[in-house]
Amino acid sequence: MRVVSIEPTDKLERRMTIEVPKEDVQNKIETRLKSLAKQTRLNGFRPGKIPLRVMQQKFGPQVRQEVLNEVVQTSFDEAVQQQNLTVTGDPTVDFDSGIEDVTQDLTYTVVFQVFHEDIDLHLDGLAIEKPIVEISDQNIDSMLERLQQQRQRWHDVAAVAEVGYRVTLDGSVTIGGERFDEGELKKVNIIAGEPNIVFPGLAEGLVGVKENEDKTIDLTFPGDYPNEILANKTAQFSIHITAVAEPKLPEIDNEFAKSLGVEDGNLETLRQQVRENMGRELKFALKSSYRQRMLNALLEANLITVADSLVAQESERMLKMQQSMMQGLPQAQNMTADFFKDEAKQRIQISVLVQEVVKKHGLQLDQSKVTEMIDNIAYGYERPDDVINWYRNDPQRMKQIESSVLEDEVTEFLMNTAQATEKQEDFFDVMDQAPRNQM
Amino acid sequence: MNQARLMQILLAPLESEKANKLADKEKSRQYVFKVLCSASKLEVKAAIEFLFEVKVKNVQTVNVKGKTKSFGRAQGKRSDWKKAYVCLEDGYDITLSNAV
Repeated sequence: MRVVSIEPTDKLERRMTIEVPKEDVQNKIETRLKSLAKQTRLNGFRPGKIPLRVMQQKFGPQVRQEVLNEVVQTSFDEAVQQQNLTVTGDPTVDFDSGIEDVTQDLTYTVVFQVFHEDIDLHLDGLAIEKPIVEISDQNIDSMLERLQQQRQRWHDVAAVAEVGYRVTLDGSVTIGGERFDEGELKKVNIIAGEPNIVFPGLAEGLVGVKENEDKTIDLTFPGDYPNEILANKTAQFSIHITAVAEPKLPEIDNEFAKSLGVEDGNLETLRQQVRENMGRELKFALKSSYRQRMLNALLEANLITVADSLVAQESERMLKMQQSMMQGLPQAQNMTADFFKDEAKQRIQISVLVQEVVKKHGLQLDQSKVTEMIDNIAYGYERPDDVINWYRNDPQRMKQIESSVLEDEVTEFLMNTAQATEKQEDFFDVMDQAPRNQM
Repeated sequence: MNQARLMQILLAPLESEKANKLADKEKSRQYVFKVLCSASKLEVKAAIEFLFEVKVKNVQTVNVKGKTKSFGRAQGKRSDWKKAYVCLEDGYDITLSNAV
């Protein structure tokens, strides 16, 4: 096998000419014919006694075709390895010399796509904003408010339901005078005035109702409503209100602090703890947000073209993940891989760039950091050892961790040369930006 | 000789271990064919020379009796056929590819 020439025809496409000596091909054909002769039955010959000449006459062209395919495959693989290329998609093969001609060396041309174009890395002076965040008293206040809302209780009242009140109701649905059995409601809780997906418009009609009140509400279902029987129809809801409850937020006091696990019930201690927690979360968020910004900056400085087939694969994978997360919801079926295309493309580009940086600057995967990362993840679980094993025993997951660690290292490496400008940012902004999932 | 007749004389090359062995012999290379029963040696020679564009040294023929086969009680007989061994002059040989 000899690579005669290799030239780019496009950003991603390469044309390579490969030559295979004729002896290689002939030897292969011969051995194939010989082994085939042992199994073939032919009238006039005892099994296994068919001379090579006859075999050639009968099966020559067919075997030749097979062997050629094989030779092309192996020699192409070899050439790819020799040239250090990463090939994606189906290569198209074109034979230069006639394939019937046994007396000449076999030469053929392959046109194929590579993963990404040749990269000329620009690493110096990546401009990046470094977020500086201080946890202010205000931040703590709003955090406490969130906690307060999480602990909201319902309190039955005999009053008129206002917006935000919870209304418990029984009811039945009729469409044009006909009863709709699936629409039977029993003890359903609906927050008055808050848009409801299942019964569009119902919640709005509940503002102002009282306990034990009977009411009929006309609801018009939109055309894209999941249940086809109801879509585009107007239905009458006859409902009976069984209870009205008002939301009650717990007071921020010593009691509240105690329920959150502060033993001495001191508000100051609670604030202190919240601040500590926030600080810890902030540290992670800052790190991942910083990493994200760094990688984005890297991508911006090196906008590379990557193969479509890779992007398609990645978006397919993301679609599957999303679907398994949203299992049971009707929207899950309607999503297509196209939806994730841009994100997938970005992911692929970044991972290619990261690998390139690693390769070029000889960064090493630090095993101790991998261990540390797994420990960190496992720390939050009830039985850390199980989680650690769960990761350790699955090469796929280990790979994810490793690539994540690599990204960290690349980020650190880039930090040395990057031009960071510091910028004051709000705690919640940073927290919301940070990707929920570390992967 | 009539060309139309010559085209009809050769029925098939005989492919068997024995025929192959004969074709491989250095000194007495012989190619084996099934021919018309009514064909004479001279006719076979002419037909070979005409179809393969070679020179024939000599031709030997055998009348092969068809086997009798019984189907239950009924007796059957396969047809007889004629086998021709063709020896070529030096420097010529027959492959399927040089058939005209």
